[in-house]
Amino acid sequence: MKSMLSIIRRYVFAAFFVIILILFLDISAYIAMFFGVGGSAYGNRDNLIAISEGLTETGSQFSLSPEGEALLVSQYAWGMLLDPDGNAVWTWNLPEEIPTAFTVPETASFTRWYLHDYPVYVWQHDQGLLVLARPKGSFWKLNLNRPQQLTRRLPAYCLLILTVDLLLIFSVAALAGGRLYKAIRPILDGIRNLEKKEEIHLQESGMLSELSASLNKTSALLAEQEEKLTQRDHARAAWISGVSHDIRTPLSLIMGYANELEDQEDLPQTSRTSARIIKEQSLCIRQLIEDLNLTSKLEYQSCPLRITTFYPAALLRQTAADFMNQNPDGPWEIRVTCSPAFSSAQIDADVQLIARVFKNLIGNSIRHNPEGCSVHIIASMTESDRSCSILFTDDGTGIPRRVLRILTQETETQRETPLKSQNASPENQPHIMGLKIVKQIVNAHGGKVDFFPEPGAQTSSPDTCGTGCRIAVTLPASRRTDMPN
Amino acid sequence: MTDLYDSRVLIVDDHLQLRRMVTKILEQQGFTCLETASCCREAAEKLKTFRPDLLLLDVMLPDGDGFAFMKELREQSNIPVLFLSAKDEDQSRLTGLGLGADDYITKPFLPEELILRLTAVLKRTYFPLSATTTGSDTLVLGNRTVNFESGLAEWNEGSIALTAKELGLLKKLSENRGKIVTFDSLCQAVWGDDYFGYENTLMVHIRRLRAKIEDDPSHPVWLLTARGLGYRLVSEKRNR
Repeated sequence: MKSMLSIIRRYVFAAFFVIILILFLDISAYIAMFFGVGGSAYGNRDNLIAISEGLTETGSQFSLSPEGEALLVSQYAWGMLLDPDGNAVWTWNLPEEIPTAFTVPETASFTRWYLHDYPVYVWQHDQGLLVLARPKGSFWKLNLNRPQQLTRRLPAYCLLILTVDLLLIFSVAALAGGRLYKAIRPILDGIRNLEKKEEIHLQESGMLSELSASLNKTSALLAEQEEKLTQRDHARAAWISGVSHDIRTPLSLIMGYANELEDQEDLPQTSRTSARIIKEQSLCIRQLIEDLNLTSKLEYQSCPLRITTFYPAALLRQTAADFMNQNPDGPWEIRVTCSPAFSSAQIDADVQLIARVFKNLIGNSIRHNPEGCSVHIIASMTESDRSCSILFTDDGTGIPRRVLRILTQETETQRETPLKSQNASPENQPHIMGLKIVKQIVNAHGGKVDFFPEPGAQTSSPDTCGTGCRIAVTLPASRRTDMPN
Repeated sequence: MTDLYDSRVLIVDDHLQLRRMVTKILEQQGFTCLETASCCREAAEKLKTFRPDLLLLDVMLPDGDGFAFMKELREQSNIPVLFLSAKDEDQSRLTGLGLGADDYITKPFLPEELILRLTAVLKRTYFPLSATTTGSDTLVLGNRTVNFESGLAEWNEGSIALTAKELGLLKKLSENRGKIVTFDSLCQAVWGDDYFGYENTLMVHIRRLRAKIEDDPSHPVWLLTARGLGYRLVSEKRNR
């Protein structure tokens, strides 16, 4: 809104200065016209003087100097010299209609105006009155008579008029700007609402009614597209949910009967081993189904977060302890180191989903290191932005380069194209569902996941990125968390 | 009913193979009184004729849904109900448990999981005394015995009294014997929900407890530390 006001302000000032400029140019043009183009009219006085001085009496004859004659020919239609009694004593090119004798009243009359429609000019000569006439219709004689006081105050009046003019111009420009702002404001609000994917209904009236109508149409179109996209997303999530639902009962049977076969002591060992593998793989499928469901729900935002405030340290320790309790004789060691600040920190999050993050990350180390490894989880607080930072490390085989590359690429493109990275030849994609879910959950909580080291780092192993796996999860701390001094 | 395995279990599921498999699993476990139904109507009839002690109920049935059936059932009977469903959404679980179901198992499931949950519900409902893990008043730790009732740790040469907090900690650890119990769970067990800030105090209590139950407290063999996680009370057979 601030930028809009600034635009309107600029518009008002621009309009104001443009009008002033036009006025200035106009006045200059008028002055130039009067004193430049029409200047010859005002040069009349000089001509009259020059011709009068050039007209001299020699005996009883009058003669005109060549300069005077040249001027007379070039500027005037005719000329005459009246003696003090009003009789013409010298004439030049005098038309027949013009008398050669004038009474005093006649003389007084034409000196100010016209003589038989000829604009005439007079000048006092030693022998009488010199009368010169320009061609008919060539000049407009204007007699200006104004009170002396008014003439004296004319500059002040001009200044006053100019000030009033400026105020008037500014008011009109401001009024026009205000009206424009008033008309644009709902449109601007509408565009902002469109940004937020809200449907808008602008009033289609006033000076910008066409624009409002276009925006209303655009909004309706966008709403329709959004609705279709939502429907498609929901349909996709529902389809995944439906398929996974239909798989569950047959998978129960597979797991149940495989378990039964595994327990039958009269079966050969190889068959029992096969049954165990079937059961284990069925468990993997079960995990995949759950992951697929969760990831699709998170992707299509149909999984509402049940936010509560809790201590992540307690959850982290419990998850690690659960893993250790499930595999008491396993070749894995899980260690958790929490800084005092982290131990006292709380987060606002969905406890089930965050537990899933911890479970997936610890499970990732366990699953990919069947020979055993040491998992060390280091949790601390970043004082700069009040975030909980949890680093999951192990000394196992590490993350395969391909997986790391995909995960880091996804981090860059996830917001724009969440599915694109998967669409590219899915058969060649490694199974990263667990880590993908971690990212989705953490992102949904306003946090971030970093995978170390960056792909391309020089290591001795061609397939993995260094020794062990290092994944850092950062989650914003709750506002209720007090930071240590 | 004197024996847990004499409990009458009604299995309601529209999938014939699944009904058969669940029946087989329960029979192998020792349950003898089992009956199945494929729909709500049949289940309603069996409720009257078979009079089950526990109902294993699917949610999606051909002539209605398990939730509605359960709602009607609760108006007449309080028998324990376990949902066994392919619907794994949180909402479905909450609906089922909200209606008063005793547990909610999602398919696919492991037979052991089904047995454990089912027997736990039966024990809780019909054999409450045997269901408590603290039924035993004594805890044997090698040559020492802790009596929870008298609050004494006894051995051949003598005995020593345990404080209430020490007894509380030991009880929690013995309930989860062989498993790691986190600092948080131990603190919560002794100091309640508002346990935050007691970690250091917990360490002091554990040190004192070791002095009373271990022969060599500086090299404990029963009450072990799980670094960064919590403590574990070693099970007896492991230390033999």
